[in-house]
Amino acid sequence: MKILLSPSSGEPIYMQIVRQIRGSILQGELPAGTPLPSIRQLAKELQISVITTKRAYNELEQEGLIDSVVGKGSFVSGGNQEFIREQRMRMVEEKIRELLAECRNIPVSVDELIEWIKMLDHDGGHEE
Amino acid sequence: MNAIDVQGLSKSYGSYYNLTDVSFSVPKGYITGLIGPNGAGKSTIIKAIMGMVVPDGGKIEVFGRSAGSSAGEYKQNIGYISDENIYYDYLSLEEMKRIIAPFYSDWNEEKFRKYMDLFELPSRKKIKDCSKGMKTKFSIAIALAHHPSLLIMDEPTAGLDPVFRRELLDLLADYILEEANTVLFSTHLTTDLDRVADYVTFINKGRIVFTDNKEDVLERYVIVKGGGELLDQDIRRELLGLRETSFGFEGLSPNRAKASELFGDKVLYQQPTLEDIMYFTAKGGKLRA
Amino acid sequence: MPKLICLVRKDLLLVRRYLWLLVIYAVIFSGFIQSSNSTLIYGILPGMVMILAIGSDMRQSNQQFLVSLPVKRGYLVLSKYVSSLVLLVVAVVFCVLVSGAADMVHHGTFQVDKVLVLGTLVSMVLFLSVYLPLYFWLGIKGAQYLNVAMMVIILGGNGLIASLLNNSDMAFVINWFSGHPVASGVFAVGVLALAGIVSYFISRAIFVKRDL
Repeated sequence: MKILLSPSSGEPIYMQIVRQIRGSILQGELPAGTPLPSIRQLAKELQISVITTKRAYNELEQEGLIDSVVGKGSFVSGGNQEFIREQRMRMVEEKIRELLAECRNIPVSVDELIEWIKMLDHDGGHEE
Repeated sequence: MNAIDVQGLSKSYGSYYNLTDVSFSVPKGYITGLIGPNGAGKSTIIKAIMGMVVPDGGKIEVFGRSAGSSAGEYKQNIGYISDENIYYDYLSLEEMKRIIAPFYSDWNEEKFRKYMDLFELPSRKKIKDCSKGMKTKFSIAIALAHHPSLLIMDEPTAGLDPVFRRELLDLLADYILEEANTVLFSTHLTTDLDRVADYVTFINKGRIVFTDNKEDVLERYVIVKGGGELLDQDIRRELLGLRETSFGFEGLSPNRAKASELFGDKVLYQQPTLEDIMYFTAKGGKLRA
Repeated sequence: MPKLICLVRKDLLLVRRYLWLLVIYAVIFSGFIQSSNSTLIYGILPGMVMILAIGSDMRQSNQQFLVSLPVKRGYLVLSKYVSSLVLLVVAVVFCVLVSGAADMVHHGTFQVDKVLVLGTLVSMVLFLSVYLPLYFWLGIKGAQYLNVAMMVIILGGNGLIASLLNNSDMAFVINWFSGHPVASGVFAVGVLALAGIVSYFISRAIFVKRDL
């Protein structure tokens, strides 16, 4: 799991953590049941305060992405495959909207775009 | 139970500012920063907690036990790091340790050795020949060697290089891995605390300005920058430490929501650091936000 | 190790660095050099040792250090009294040995002037009873003047006591005391104990309220 913090970006630190962990989970990098570092361990490694990591974990728990068990720690949430799929779809939708907006600017028509997508897919041009 | 409870502490010491009705708590298991400009009263508060200063009024409790100049036993649990050198100059580090160690029932010689090696401190060196950084490191080695559950540090990084300051923060992070451990850290150099503090208590001119969760504090305040034409009597009152130049103004708002209501998007908003909050508040001459 | 012992041990450790100074004084004043009265040393050495020991953690920073330890303030005061007494006894024993040795060198006999030894002990305890509360009251700035004043008193006082002892009236009192060793012993111990205890409570009351 990779977490990189940018203190001067204007985005609150806990939000940056939430976003990056959420991203990792939704992209399947962190399978269900993976243990997460304790809030204190995470605070130490990222050199931030315990309260910040606690808040990040609380947020993730609210979103149903992780479960916290007293005495054991926090783990990536097991169930909710449907929910995760939904989240990922939502992220894809974001990307599609961005794509459409960009294409409108160039301009590229929707039909041209669809052809283009089919061509790239056919060429096996999707990147890992 | 909190690690430290201070209630209604007051102390007049005839000089600039008197401590007036100071009340705050240091929650167990976290790092609490005590911040404020020089002379605000931070050292006096810490000395009162350590029983070095006798308050005029108020009550202090450490882990639920009465603390102050008439008690001694509660300090078994405290590792104290002073802003000045309090050791005997003409002794060596080793000799100084030999005087201190027998007082603590939980003294761990191995741990002490470990820290001495880590800090590269030569045992036979006389304290008067040691630099300030070495003396502080020695203080830390002594403090950690007897397993205290509370570390009280009075301006530990003043006069020290940035490298050591970072190392100190790492040490604290290690220390606080243990949930039972608590840190009270007083400083006027708040960059150290910006990232690492969990709770912050701000003292100005002998009074508490706020004592709160650091995340909440940083979210509540916002720096507002805009053109001079936006200011009027009422609006001026809303901002702390207002600074006006021919190019515009900048000030601190203690209420982000309200500022956003007042100014909308006609101004620039900036996330303040603890130092900003301290600067604008102190500059404003007001005690409170 | 019980706290009181740790504190007394600390005072002894701190005095150790003055050892060379004390040896020089001892040699000079004990009559090795001058073959005359070898007992001059009694007047100076114990007083010096105690002032040095008591003053060794005079500075405010040192006082802060002591208070930062898990020890009640009353204990810190008590330990000063105990260390001073311990050092007094050690110093007097040392004086006896040194002046006795000087006598051996010059006269071939090992003389111990019991009256002088007792007199020193008594007067030094009384001196402590007055000095310590003043020390706690005045703090570091005052202590420097205090030490000068006290040294003067010690030097002058010894002369006074010596002439007192030689006084014919005193001779009667001294004879009585010598004749009734038990009673005078009890009396002396009682007076000293009382002085010590009163002095301790005064010092404690002063120190417990002190800001550092």
